[in-house]
Amino acid sequence: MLRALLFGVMAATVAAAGADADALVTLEHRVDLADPGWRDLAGAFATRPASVVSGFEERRWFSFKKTPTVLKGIARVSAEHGLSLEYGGPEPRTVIIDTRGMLVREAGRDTAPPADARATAANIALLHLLRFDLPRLAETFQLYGERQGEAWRLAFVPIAEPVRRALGHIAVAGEGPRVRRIELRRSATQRVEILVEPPRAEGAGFTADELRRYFR
Amino acid sequence: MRALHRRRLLGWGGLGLAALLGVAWLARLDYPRKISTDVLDLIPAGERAPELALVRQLAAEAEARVMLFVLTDPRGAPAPLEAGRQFSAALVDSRAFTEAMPLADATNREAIGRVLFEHRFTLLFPPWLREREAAFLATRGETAAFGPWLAADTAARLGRFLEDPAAIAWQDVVPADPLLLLPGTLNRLKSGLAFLQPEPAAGSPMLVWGRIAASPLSEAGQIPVFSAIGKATAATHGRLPGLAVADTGINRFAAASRARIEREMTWLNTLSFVAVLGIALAFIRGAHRGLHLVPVVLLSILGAWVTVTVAFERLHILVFVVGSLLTGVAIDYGFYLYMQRPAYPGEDYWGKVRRLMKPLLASCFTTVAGFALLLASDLPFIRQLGAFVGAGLLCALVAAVGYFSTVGGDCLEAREFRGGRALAEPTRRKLRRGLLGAWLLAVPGLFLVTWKDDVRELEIPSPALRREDARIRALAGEVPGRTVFLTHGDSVAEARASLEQFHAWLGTAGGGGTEFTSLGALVPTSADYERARAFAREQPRFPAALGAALAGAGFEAEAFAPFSEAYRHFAAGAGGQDVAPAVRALHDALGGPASALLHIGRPFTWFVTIASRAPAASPPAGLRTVSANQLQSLNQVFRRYRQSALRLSATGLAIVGLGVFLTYGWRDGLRIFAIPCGACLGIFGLFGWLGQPLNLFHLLGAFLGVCLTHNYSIFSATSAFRREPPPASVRLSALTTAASFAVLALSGIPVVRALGLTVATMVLAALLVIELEHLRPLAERP
Repeated sequence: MLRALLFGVMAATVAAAGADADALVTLEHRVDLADPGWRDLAGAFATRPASVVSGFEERRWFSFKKTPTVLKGIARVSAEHGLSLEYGGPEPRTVIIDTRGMLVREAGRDTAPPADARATAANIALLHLLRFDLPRLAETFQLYGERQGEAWRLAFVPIAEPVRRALGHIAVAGEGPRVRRIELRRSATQRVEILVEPPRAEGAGFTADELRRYFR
Repeated sequence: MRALHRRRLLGWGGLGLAALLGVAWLARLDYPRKISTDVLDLIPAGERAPELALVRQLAAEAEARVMLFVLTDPRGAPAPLEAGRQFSAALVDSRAFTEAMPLADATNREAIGRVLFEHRFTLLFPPWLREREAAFLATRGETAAFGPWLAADTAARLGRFLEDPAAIAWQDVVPADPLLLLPGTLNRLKSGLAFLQPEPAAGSPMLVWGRIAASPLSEAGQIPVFSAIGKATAATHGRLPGLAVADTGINRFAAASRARIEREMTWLNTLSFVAVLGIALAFIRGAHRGLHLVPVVLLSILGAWVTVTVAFERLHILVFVVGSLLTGVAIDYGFYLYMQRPAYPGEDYWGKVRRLMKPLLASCFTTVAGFALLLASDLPFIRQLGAFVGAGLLCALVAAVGYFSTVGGDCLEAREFRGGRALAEPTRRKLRRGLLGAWLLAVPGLFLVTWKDDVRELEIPSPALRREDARIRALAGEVPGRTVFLTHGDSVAEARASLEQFHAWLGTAGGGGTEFTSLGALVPTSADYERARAFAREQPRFPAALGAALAGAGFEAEAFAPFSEAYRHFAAGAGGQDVAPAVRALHDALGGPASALLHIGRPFTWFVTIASRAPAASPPAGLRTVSANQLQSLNQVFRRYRQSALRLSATGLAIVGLGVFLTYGWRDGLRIFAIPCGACLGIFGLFGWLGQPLNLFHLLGAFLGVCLTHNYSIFSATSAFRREPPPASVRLSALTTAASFAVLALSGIPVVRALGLTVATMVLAALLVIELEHLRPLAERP
């Protein structure tokens, strides 16, 4: 799916929170990087465990399908090695996003999808989001957001017009140093939503075997 | 004195006129057109097997002109795509490149995708239908049930496809392509296309692919190209200061090779001149008089040049490189004539010529006959070499006889050494026996001789360039061990039909272990196309059935209206549905590395198949397919040259031997002929023991060596008949020849080294035999 993110980021998305995300993209919600509230949140992200394992559910909406395609799996976040999404089902596959880009591991084969501006933008967003690195995100996206206590929402709108046209925007919601939902929203009928469950396990890092199987 | 004046008038007049005409002819030649440096020109132009011509065309027009670049920023990280685009644009603007693009640039892939989408029913639907029919047959369903089965199966497959991460990228296409013609085909092609045009992942090196306008082996394909690269780098510095560009291409190798050859020829010639001069000073009295030999050699070379440039439309540079060794043989006649003292005081020049004519003619004509035999070869280089050396020798003999008629005064005198005949006869006899024993030991080594026909030995190895080439090609995703095949036909349909058969053969001959890909997946066979058209005509309600199946699977059936419209259009056979124009459109859209996958035009249309773990056997001739491995092909040609040279040399040797036997009789002829033959067999046997693989140039060297040592043998025999020791001219000629060829043995070019080593050792071996007075028994006959 991540690959969906990839390709799809561009096209994909999320909708559920569509309306909310659209409402967020207004001038009054532009993120001030100097705002202590966002900086505190970034500090909280920096102190998260080195490894986090959570279940997730991904819903893909297509304009030609009445109901979303629903996929479930396990997300693994490594402070050092990036993000790994393990999809179950009859054709299991793992999507890995790290500083080298995206990789799809399927039936024992690794495939690197083509790099293009849209996929790269989505990857950058996800990687920086893992570290809550808003200054780096601001290099590529216009940032909008709001906080209500522990809960927070952010919307990333690509600065580059072609990327914005193909990708739409990315909406993220969470509580404290936890991401709860990611939405890649191209339009109301074309979106991908990822709902992240509370962590199943947290630790000081993945084992060598886990790193080999779920990361690169 | 009056006779000498008359001879000078006639000799200088005749030789001067000949030289004038020859120089005038050479002066009007267009050398870049006449003389080729392209190794591919070694392949016969009218090659009987069209495949090699095909390979040649592909190699010359596509592969050889490709350059690859790696662009990095000052930190060594990949340069951004925009820098790659700017660099590519600057290359094309220079006109030294016809095409250039970053491999990461999706523009070309999108262009191909648009063409495929537009022609998806013509190009992709036929093979898709065949595949689905095969899947249906596996279910053992009734034929009449195929339509409904196909609709339900397609809907189910689409549902599964949406779970694939790639589905999101295709969501805009799916309403017009629920059969997944485009995603399915491109997915199958992915690994194959990646071979030629990898789709770099983020963080991959910034690779730029370019095709130069001129041949990489010509100056136009080197100096202007390197200049354009420098300017493009400078132009891109504006966007990315500190940009570093690494590149590779055949022109880099060719330029480096040329530069090194030029340097090497300079020092080789200098060293050779010093060696020959040193020997001349050591063995000749009044060495300056040796300059009289120069006009003979020059006239010989002039005659050879004129002959081949008249006789052949186009010549390969190697003919002149190898042919320049003609001087080693041509100088013999001069030495022999000029160093012969008069048989008696006051002997007339023409009297001396008549006296020496028998060995001169025997030596010259038998050698010329041997080289003339090379004219029978079907390989152009061998024919050209035969004409060059044969004509050069005839000219050398005529020039020597003519020129020395104009030279008055004493003959060229050899320097006398104190104790010159220091070896007593018993010692010589022992040494002769020792030499014979060594020869007998060496000869069995002939059974150990191995041949190595590697065209890469024609050039000076460039390890640094090779390492850089391997590094860049690895970054570009090229994997060693893949085999490229070309399947050709007179038309797209013919080539595609052969491709189908070839792929079936690959599957069988490869034992199922061969993986391969080609653009054949994008071009239907005529049979598949007709079957698809028939299906569309017979199943006009298929879109409706598919819509119903899709609705049942949770899809919005109305969303697929674009598919229904396109299907009806195809079924109706509306304009633009033919395969040929669709393939032409695809061909036109192919740019960059992918453009090498399909060629449409004369003399052939061909498809490229890229295979890993390909069968070792060559495809059967009926499949009209040939391996496009250029190196392998050229090595095969190289092997043919060697085999042809071996066959003709052996025949030539027989003719030379026959000439000797006819001239000198069986007994004496055998003794005379034993020297060149023995030297050749002994040296090759030694190479066999030493494990030195031999190639075409060892063989040419041996042929040349046989001719040289044959001369020495005949000239020495003439002296032996007169109960005289071997003539000084032979010693001098052999030593100067051995010295100049020994210098060649120091060359960095493997084939030149092979030639030099072979000739030098053969000449020295023959000289040793002659100096040990192997021919002395000739004087003992009654």
